[in-house]
Amino acid sequence: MLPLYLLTNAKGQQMRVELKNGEVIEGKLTNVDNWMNLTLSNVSEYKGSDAFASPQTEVMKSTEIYVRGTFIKYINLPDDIIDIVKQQINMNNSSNSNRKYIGSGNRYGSSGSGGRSGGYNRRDNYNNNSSGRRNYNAGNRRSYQQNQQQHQNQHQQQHQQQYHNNNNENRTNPNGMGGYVQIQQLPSNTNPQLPSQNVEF
Amino acid sequence: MSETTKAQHQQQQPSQQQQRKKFEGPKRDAIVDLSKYKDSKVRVKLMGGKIVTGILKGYDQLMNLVLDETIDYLKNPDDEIGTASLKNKSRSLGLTVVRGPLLVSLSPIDGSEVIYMQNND
Repeated sequence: MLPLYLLTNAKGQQMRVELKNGEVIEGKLTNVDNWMNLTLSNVSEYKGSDAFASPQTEVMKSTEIYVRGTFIKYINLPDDIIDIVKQQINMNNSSNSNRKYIGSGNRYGSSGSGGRSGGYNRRDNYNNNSSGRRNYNAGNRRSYQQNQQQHQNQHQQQHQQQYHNNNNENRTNPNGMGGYVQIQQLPSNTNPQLPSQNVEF
Repeated sequence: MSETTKAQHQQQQPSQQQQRKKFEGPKRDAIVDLSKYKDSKVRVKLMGGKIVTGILKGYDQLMNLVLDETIDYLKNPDDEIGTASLKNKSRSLGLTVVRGPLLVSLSPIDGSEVIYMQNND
Protein backbone atom coordinates (compact mmCIF):
# COMPACT_ATOMS: atom_id res chain seq x y z
CA MET A 1 0.00 0.00 0.00
CA LEU A 2 1.70 3.16 -1.20
CA PRO A 3 1.08 6.33 0.81
CA LEU A 4 -0.16 8.32 -2.15
CA TYR A 5 -2.41 5.50 -3.26
CA LEU A 6 -3.88 5.30 0.20
CA LEU A 7 -4.55 9.02 0.17
CA THR A 8 -5.99 9.21 -3.34
CA ASN A 9 -8.38 6.42 -2.47
CA ALA A 10 -9.27 7.98 0.86
CA LYS A 11 -11.02 10.95 -0.72
CA GLY A 12 -14.12 11.97 1.16
CA GLN A 13 -12.73 10.81 4.49
CA GLN A 14 -12.38 12.99 7.53
CA MET A 15 -8.73 13.50 8.44
CA ARG A 16 -6.37 15.59 10.50
CA VAL A 17 -3.28 17.14 8.95
CA GLU A 18 -0.47 18.53 11.04
CA LEU A 19 1.75 21.05 9.36
CA LYS A 20 5.40 21.74 9.98
CA ASN A 21 4.59 24.89 11.93
CA GLY A 22 2.55 22.87 14.43
CA GLU A 23 -0.77 23.99 13.06
CA VAL A 24 -3.50 21.37 12.72
CA ILE A 25 -6.05 21.22 9.93
CA GLU A 26 -9.09 18.96 10.17
CA GLY A 27 -11.44 18.36 7.31
CA LYS A 28 -12.79 16.13 4.62
CA LEU A 29 -10.26 15.26 1.94
CA THR A 30 -11.44 16.33 -1.49
CA ASN A 31 -8.34 15.91 -3.61
CA VAL A 32 -4.69 14.84 -3.59
CA ASP A 33 -2.00 15.09 -6.21
CA ASN A 34 1.40 13.59 -6.91
CA TRP A 35 3.18 15.94 -4.49
CA MET A 36 0.72 15.26 -1.67
CA ASN A 37 -0.76 18.72 -2.04
CA LEU A 38 -4.22 18.42 -0.54
CA THR A 39 -7.54 20.13 -0.79
CA LEU A 40 -9.84 19.72 2.17
CA SER A 41 -13.41 20.87 2.61
CA ASN A 42 -15.26 21.98 5.75
CA VAL A 43 -11.98 22.60 7.48
CA SER A 44 -11.13 23.83 10.92
CA GLU A 45 -7.61 25.02 11.62
CA TYR A 46 -6.13 25.50 14.99
CA LYS A 47 -2.79 25.70 16.67
CA GLY A 48 -1.75 22.25 17.83
CA SER A 49 -0.41 23.49 21.14
CA ASP A 50 -3.69 25.23 21.99
CA ALA A 51 -5.57 21.95 22.12
CA PHE A 52 -3.44 20.83 25.07
CA ALA A 53 -2.13 23.88 26.82
CA SER A 54 -4.72 26.60 26.86
CA PRO A 55 -8.27 26.49 28.26
CA GLN A 56 -9.81 27.39 24.96
CA THR A 57 -8.87 26.84 21.36
CA GLU A 58 -9.22 29.40 18.71
CA VAL A 59 -10.50 27.67 15.60
CA MET A 60 -10.67 29.06 12.12
CA LYS A 61 -13.41 27.44 10.07
CA SER A 62 -13.38 27.63 6.28
CA THR A 63 -15.25 25.97 3.48
CA GLU A 64 -12.14 24.84 1.66
CA ILE A 65 -8.38 24.91 1.92
CA TYR A 66 -5.45 24.04 -0.26
CA VAL A 67 -2.36 22.76 1.55
CA ARG A 68 1.15 22.35 0.13
CA GLY A 69 2.37 18.78 0.38
CA THR A 70 5.89 19.82 1.34
CA PHE A 71 4.58 21.59 4.40
CA ILE A 72 2.77 18.59 5.85
CA LYS A 73 4.29 16.91 8.87
CA TYR A 74 1.81 14.05 9.07
CA ILE A 75 -1.77 13.11 8.37
CA ASN A 76 -4.07 11.30 10.77
CA LEU A 77 -6.48 9.02 8.96
CA PRO A 78 -9.38 6.94 10.27
CA ASP A 79 -8.18 3.60 11.66
CA ASP A 80 -10.10 1.40 9.27
CA ILE A 81 -9.12 3.33 6.16
CA ILE A 82 -6.57 0.82 4.94
CA ASP A 83 -9.16 -1.97 4.78
CA ILE A 84 -11.66 0.26 3.04
CA VAL A 85 -9.12 1.30 0.46
CA LYS A 86 -7.96 -2.24 -0.17
CA GLN A 87 -11.55 -3.24 -0.74
CA GLN A 88 -12.06 -0.31 -3.09
CA ILE A 89 -8.99 -1.19 -5.14
CA ASN A 90 -10.02 -4.82 -5.41
CA MET A 91 -13.50 -3.89 -6.52
CA ASN A 92 -12.08 -1.43 -9.00
CA ASN A 93 -9.83 -4.16 -10.35
CA SER A 94 -12.44 -6.82 -10.82
CA SER A 95 -15.17 -4.58 -12.18
CA ASN A 96 -13.00 -2.77 -14.69
CA SER A 97 -10.35 -5.26 -15.66
CA ASN A 98 -12.45 -7.12 -18.22
CA ARG A 99 -12.63 -4.29 -20.63
CA LYS A 100 -9.78 -2.15 -19.51
CA TYR A 101 -6.92 -4.56 -19.41
CA ILE A 102 -7.74 -6.38 -22.58
CA GLY A 103 -7.86 -3.03 -24.30
CA SER A 104 -4.46 -1.99 -23.08
CA GLY A 105 -3.01 -5.37 -23.87
CA ASN A 106 -4.11 -5.20 -27.45
CA ARG A 107 -2.84 -1.72 -27.78
CA TYR A 108 0.60 -2.51 -26.56
CA GLY A 109 0.69 -5.74 -28.45
CA SER A 110 -0.15 -4.24 -31.79
CA SER A 111 2.15 -1.28 -31.39
CA GLY A 112 4.99 -3.50 -30.41
CA SER A 113 6.17 -1.88 -27.16
CA GLY A 114 5.80 -5.06 -25.30
CA GLY A 115 7.50 -5.35 -21.96
CA ARG A 116 5.23 -3.45 -19.64
CA SER A 117 1.98 -4.58 -21.06
CA GLY A 118 3.14 -8.10 -20.59
CA GLY A 119 3.58 -7.34 -16.93
CA TYR A 120 0.15 -5.86 -16.61
CA ASN A 121 -1.49 -8.72 -18.33
CA ARG A 122 0.25 -11.28 -16.28
CA ARG A 123 -0.74 -9.56 -13.08
CA ASP A 124 -4.27 -9.34 -14.30
CA ASN A 125 -4.34 -13.04 -14.94
CA TYR A 126 -3.69 -13.69 -11.31
CA ASN A 127 -6.43 -11.37 -10.20
CA ASN A 128 -9.07 -12.21 -12.66
CA ASN A 129 -9.57 -15.54 -14.31
CA SER A 130 -12.47 -14.60 -16.53
CA SER A 131 -10.33 -12.38 -18.72
CA GLY A 132 -7.32 -14.61 -18.58
CA ARG A 133 -7.40 -16.21 -21.97
CA ARG A 134 -7.69 -13.18 -24.15
CA ASN A 135 -5.12 -11.34 -22.15
CA TYR A 136 -2.75 -14.15 -22.56
CA ASN A 137 -3.03 -13.90 -26.29
CA ALA A 138 -2.76 -10.15 -26.33
CA GLY A 139 0.31 -10.16 -24.17
CA ASN A 140 1.96 -12.78 -26.27
CA ARG A 141 1.63 -11.00 -29.51
CA ARG A 142 4.94 -9.27 -29.03
CA SER A 143 6.89 -12.28 -28.03
CA TYR A 144 5.43 -14.11 -30.99
CA GLN A 145 6.98 -11.54 -33.26
CA GLN A 146 10.24 -11.93 -31.45
CA ASN A 147 10.06 -15.65 -31.82
CA GLN A 148 9.43 -15.29 -35.47
CA GLN A 149 12.44 -13.04 -35.84
CA GLN A 150 14.65 -15.39 -33.98
CA HIS A 151 13.35 -18.18 -36.06
CA GLN A 152 14.20 -16.38 -39.24
CA ASN A 153 17.65 -15.56 -37.99
CA GLN A 154 18.32 -19.11 -37.10
CA HIS A 155 17.04 -20.16 -40.44
CA GLN A 156 19.38 -17.86 -42.27
CA GLN A 157 22.28 -18.84 -40.13
CA GLN A 158 21.68 -22.43 -40.94
CA HIS A 159 21.69 -21.63 -44.62
CA GLN A 160 24.92 -19.78 -44.39
CA GLN A 161 26.51 -22.42 -42.33
CA GLN A 162 25.71 -24.82 -45.07
CA TYR A 163 27.40 -22.63 -47.65
CA HIS A 164 30.21 -21.01 -45.74
CA ASN A 165 30.89 -23.44 -42.99
CA ASN A 166 30.43 -20.66 -40.45
CA ASN A 167 30.47 -21.26 -36.77
CA ASN A 168 29.40 -19.05 -33.91
CA GLU A 169 32.84 -17.82 -32.93
CA ASN A 170 33.53 -15.84 -36.05
CA ARG A 171 30.08 -14.34 -36.17
CA THR A 172 31.01 -11.34 -34.10
CA ASN A 173 33.03 -8.65 -35.74
CA PRO A 174 33.41 -5.56 -33.56
CA ASN A 175 34.10 -2.72 -35.93
CA GLY A 176 32.36 -0.02 -33.91
CA MET A 177 29.02 -0.04 -35.65
CA GLY A 178 25.84 -0.82 -33.80
CA GLY A 179 23.08 -2.97 -35.11
CA TYR A 180 22.63 -6.16 -36.94
CA VAL A 181 23.98 -6.71 -40.40
CA GLN A 182 23.50 -9.57 -42.70
CA ILE A 183 25.74 -10.00 -45.67
CA GLN A 184 24.37 -12.12 -48.40
CA GLN A 185 26.99 -13.85 -50.43
CA LEU A 186 26.76 -16.03 -53.38
CA PRO A 187 27.79 -19.57 -52.79
CA SER A 188 30.38 -19.29 -55.54
CA ASN A 189 32.49 -16.86 -53.44
CA THR A 190 32.75 -19.16 -50.55
CA ASN A 191 35.90 -19.48 -48.63
CA PRO A 192 35.82 -21.59 -45.50
CA GLN A 193 38.17 -19.19 -43.71
CA LEU A 194 36.10 -16.12 -44.54
CA PRO A 195 35.03 -14.37 -41.33
CA SER A 196 31.57 -13.29 -40.45
CA GLN A 197 28.65 -13.31 -42.78
CA ASN A 198 26.22 -12.77 -40.00
CA VAL A 199 27.48 -9.94 -37.86
CA GLU A 200 26.04 -9.03 -34.54
CA PHE A 201 27.70 -6.44 -32.38
CA MET B 1 5.65 -0.79 -36.71
CA SER B 2 3.71 0.56 -39.65
CA GLU B 3 2.62 4.16 -39.96
CA THR B 4 -0.99 3.37 -39.25
CA THR B 5 -0.30 1.54 -36.04
CA LYS B 6 2.02 4.34 -34.99
CA ALA B 7 -0.76 6.84 -35.50
CA GLN B 8 -3.15 4.65 -33.57
CA HIS B 9 -0.73 4.41 -30.74
CA GLN B 10 -0.40 8.17 -30.48
CA GLN B 11 -4.14 8.62 -30.57
CA GLN B 12 -4.63 6.14 -27.82
CA GLN B 13 -2.08 7.66 -25.51
CA PRO B 14 -4.51 10.16 -23.91
CA SER B 15 -7.13 7.53 -23.23
CA GLN B 16 -4.45 5.48 -21.56
CA GLN B 17 -3.83 8.31 -19.13
CA GLN B 18 -7.52 8.67 -18.44
CA GLN B 19 -7.61 5.02 -17.57
CA ARG B 20 -4.91 5.43 -15.01
CA LYS B 21 -6.83 8.28 -13.44
CA LYS B 22 -9.92 6.13 -13.11
CA PHE B 23 -7.76 3.63 -11.33
CA GLU B 24 -7.15 6.31 -8.69
CA GLY B 25 -3.45 6.86 -9.00
CA PRO B 26 -2.06 10.16 -7.75
CA LYS B 27 -2.68 13.08 -10.09
CA ARG B 28 -0.15 15.29 -11.78
CA ASP B 29 -2.39 18.18 -12.71
CA ALA B 30 -3.75 20.94 -10.53
CA ILE B 31 -6.12 19.80 -7.81
CA VAL B 32 -7.54 23.17 -6.92
CA ASP B 33 -9.45 25.32 -9.34
CA LEU B 34 -8.38 28.85 -8.58
CA SER B 35 -10.74 30.29 -11.15
CA LYS B 36 -13.57 30.03 -8.64
CA TYR B 37 -11.65 32.30 -6.28
CA LYS B 38 -10.86 34.88 -8.89
CA ASP B 39 -11.79 38.41 -7.81
CA SER B 40 -12.64 37.17 -4.34
CA LYS B 41 -10.69 37.52 -1.13
CA VAL B 42 -8.29 34.76 -0.19
CA ARG B 43 -6.06 34.12 2.76
CA VAL B 44 -2.61 32.83 1.90
CA LYS B 45 -0.07 31.46 4.32
CA LEU B 46 3.55 31.58 3.33
CA MET B 47 6.62 29.73 4.42
CA GLY B 48 8.18 31.47 7.36
CA GLY B 49 4.82 32.18 8.97
CA LYS B 50 3.66 35.20 7.05
CA ILE B 51 -0.04 35.50 6.35
CA VAL B 52 -1.43 37.69 3.61
CA THR B 53 -4.92 38.36 2.39
CA GLY B 54 -5.94 39.89 -0.87
CA ILE B 55 -8.20 39.77 -3.85
CA LEU B 56 -7.06 37.08 -6.24
CA LYS B 57 -6.48 38.66 -9.63
CA GLY B 58 -4.42 36.00 -11.34
CA TYR B 59 -2.55 32.74 -10.94
CA ASP B 60 -0.55 30.18 -12.89
CA GLN B 61 0.34 26.51 -12.85
CA LEU B 62 3.02 26.99 -10.20
CA MET B 63 0.49 28.78 -8.03
CA ASN B 64 2.22 32.10 -8.29
CA LEU B 65 -0.56 34.50 -7.41
CA VAL B 66 -1.43 38.06 -8.24
CA LEU B 67 -3.16 39.65 -5.28
CA ASP B 68 -4.73 43.06 -5.19
CA GLU B 69 -5.25 45.13 -2.04
CA THR B 70 -2.86 42.81 -0.31
CA ILE B 71 -2.61 43.05 3.45
CA ASP B 72 0.35 41.49 5.18
CA TYR B 73 -0.40 40.61 8.77
CA LEU B 74 2.65 41.15 10.87
CA LYS B 75 3.74 38.03 12.60
CA ASN B 76 2.84 37.67 16.21
CA PRO B 77 4.58 34.82 18.00
CA ASP B 78 1.40 34.02 19.95
CA ASP B 79 -0.64 33.81 16.82
CA GLU B 80 0.40 30.98 14.61
CA ILE B 81 -2.72 30.46 12.59
CA GLY B 82 -3.50 34.09 12.01
CA THR B 83 -7.01 34.31 13.32
CA ALA B 84 -6.20 36.96 15.88
CA SER B 85 -4.10 38.74 13.32
CA LEU B 86 -7.18 40.53 12.13
CA LYS B 87 -6.96 42.58 15.30
CA ASN B 88 -3.21 42.92 15.11
CA LYS B 89 -0.97 45.27 13.28
CA SER B 90 -0.95 44.90 9.56
CA ARG B 91 0.48 46.71 6.60
CA SER B 92 -1.05 47.28 3.27
CA LEU B 93 1.01 46.24 0.28
CA GLY B 94 -1.32 46.93 -2.63
CA LEU B 95 -0.85 44.88 -5.75
CA THR B 96 1.58 42.00 -5.24
CA VAL B 97 2.81 38.82 -6.83
CA VAL B 98 3.11 35.93 -4.40
CA ARG B 99 5.66 33.28 -5.28
CA GLY B 100 4.06 29.88 -5.69
CA PRO B 101 6.86 27.83 -4.12
CA LEU B 102 6.53 29.78 -0.87
CA LEU B 103 2.80 29.26 -0.59
CA VAL B 104 1.85 26.91 2.24
CA SER B 105 -1.90 27.08 2.24
CA LEU B 106 -4.67 28.98 0.58
CA SER B 107 -8.29 29.34 1.63
CA PRO B 108 -11.15 31.63 0.70
CA ILE B 109 -12.16 34.29 3.19
CA ASP B 110 -15.80 34.09 2.16
CA GLY B 111 -17.49 31.58 4.39
CA SER B 112 -14.74 31.43 6.94
CA GLU B 113 -15.24 32.29 10.59
CA VAL B 114 -13.44 32.16 13.88
CA ILE B 115 -14.91 30.19 16.74
CA TYR B 116 -13.64 29.38 20.19
CA MET B 117 -13.77 25.89 21.57
CA GLN B 118 -13.54 25.19 25.24
CA ASN B 119 -11.01 22.53 26.14
CA ASN B 120 -12.51 20.16 28.66
CA ASP B 121 -9.29 18.88 30.14
